[in-house]
Amino acid sequence: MNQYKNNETKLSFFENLAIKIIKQGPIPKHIAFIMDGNRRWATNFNLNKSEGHEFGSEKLSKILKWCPKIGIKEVTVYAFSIENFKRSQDEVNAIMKLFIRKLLEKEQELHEKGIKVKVIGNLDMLPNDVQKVVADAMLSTKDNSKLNLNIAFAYSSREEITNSIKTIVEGVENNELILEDLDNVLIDECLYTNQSSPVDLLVRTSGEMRFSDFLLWQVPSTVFYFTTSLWPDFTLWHLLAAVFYYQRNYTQAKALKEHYNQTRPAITNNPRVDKFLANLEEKRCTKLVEMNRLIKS
Amino acid sequence: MESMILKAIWFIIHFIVDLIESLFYYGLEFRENFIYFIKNISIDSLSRSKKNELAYIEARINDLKKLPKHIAVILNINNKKDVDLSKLVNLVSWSMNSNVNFISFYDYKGILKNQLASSFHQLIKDKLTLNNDENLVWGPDYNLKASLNEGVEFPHRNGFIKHLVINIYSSYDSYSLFNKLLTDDELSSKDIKIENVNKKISKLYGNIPEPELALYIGKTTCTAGFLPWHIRLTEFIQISYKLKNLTLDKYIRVLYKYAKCEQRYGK
Repeated sequence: MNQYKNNETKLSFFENLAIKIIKQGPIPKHIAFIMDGNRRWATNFNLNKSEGHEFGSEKLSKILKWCPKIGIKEVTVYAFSIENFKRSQDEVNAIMKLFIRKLLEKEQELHEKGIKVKVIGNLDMLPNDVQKVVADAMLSTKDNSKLNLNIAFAYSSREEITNSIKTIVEGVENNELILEDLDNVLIDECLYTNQSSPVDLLVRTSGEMRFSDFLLWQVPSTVFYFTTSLWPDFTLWHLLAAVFYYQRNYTQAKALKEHYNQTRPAITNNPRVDKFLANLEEKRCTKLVEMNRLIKS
Repeated sequence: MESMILKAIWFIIHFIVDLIESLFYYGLEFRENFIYFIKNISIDSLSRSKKNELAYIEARINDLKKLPKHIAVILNINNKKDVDLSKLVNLVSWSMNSNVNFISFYDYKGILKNQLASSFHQLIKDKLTLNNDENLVWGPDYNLKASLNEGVEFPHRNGFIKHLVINIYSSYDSYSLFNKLLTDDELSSKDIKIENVNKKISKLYGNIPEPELALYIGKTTCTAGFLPWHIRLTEFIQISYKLKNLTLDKYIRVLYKYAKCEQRYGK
């Protein structure tokens, strides 16, 4: 049990050596994690489910310490799906409380480590107190640049795609866009993840081999690594194994990236679209400021 | 100097893993062929009698708790010569016999769709003999009679007990089809919710259900961009390292793996 609460970040000689060796090959710039298995892990140790989530969030902190050492610049994690609202009210409340507590606890650490936090999902579905803390975290860390952390909370990929389509259709209705501007690349540009680099590697713990409505649009060139380990049991060695797997499949990933022409930021030759997208970012920022002040519009 | 040593170690580690993978792969292939030889089942299943194959499959899948209705096949094709179409025809035949209703073939470059589709079509016509209670339908792109919006409706038309719809997709179908959705006149921003978008997208794809199972060929687990909207709950299971080594036992093994997967749907 102690190994899970151990906050020591000093790595052993072998761990450092392994990292140095792995860095000789291609490193995924953006890794996504489906952090599955907290509740099963808690049951295995006769703990209650919220304690499972507590250990799970500590694991995320560790990941954020390992990634910069390996050279990973962006991490996206699936923390809470819209489907998870179906769980018992107690569990949902516990997760919300945990989320608020962690964001507040880790605030200083985020600044020390230069982590830019973005919470992606349908934030309107969250209780007001969560919204305020989320907005605060996003606004205060927006100029950090060492690592990007995207937390998918109240997220589902279909909701994200639908929201993107809605944004585009609104753009046409407001005469910001004309029909000729519309194509599927624009959907990319309006997703919650439109500022992120392409996802290179997706890791799912607890052995399931599906995506559960996570980043479906963003992953045509993503390599998937599935491990049977439960999330709180995920170690640096699992992470290195995932990166190793990525390196072994790098040629395939590269071919797919070229085919799908995923460049960030996407190059549009259309000033109207550029203006529309700039406006979109501004609107989203304003919304965050409102959320932070708990203004209802 | 240190970085040279590290780089060398990196190469050596990857090389060793390459060796182990090859040994493992050849070892497995050898074992498969040996078992086949013993069971006296010809590797070219097209020459096996249809009745035997059907009985074999039905016996093996009898105990399975769940079977997929829609199977996606994610292929890893670099050029025309890589593809052994007879293996794909086998997959069609096996799916038909395991009560699958939809089978979708996908390769992101579109080689199957754009260059080999008519040969594939022809091969199926030539090699696959259908019983009276079986029906094979080509999806909207191929079926000149069914319009793009109709798709195939279920329960089965005309009282066929076994009904299989074949579709072939490429990356165009995954993303570019959405252009049609965006320029749809009927879409107004007030109405846009997941349910209506889902209905419109379903129509664009001929009303195929979501694939419960996606088989992939090759060593890399990736979607290669297969139908992003449809794969939210799809199980991705590797069926074979190489298409040329695809066998019926591998197919059945995947069905067993699929039947063991437990869905919690977020709860």
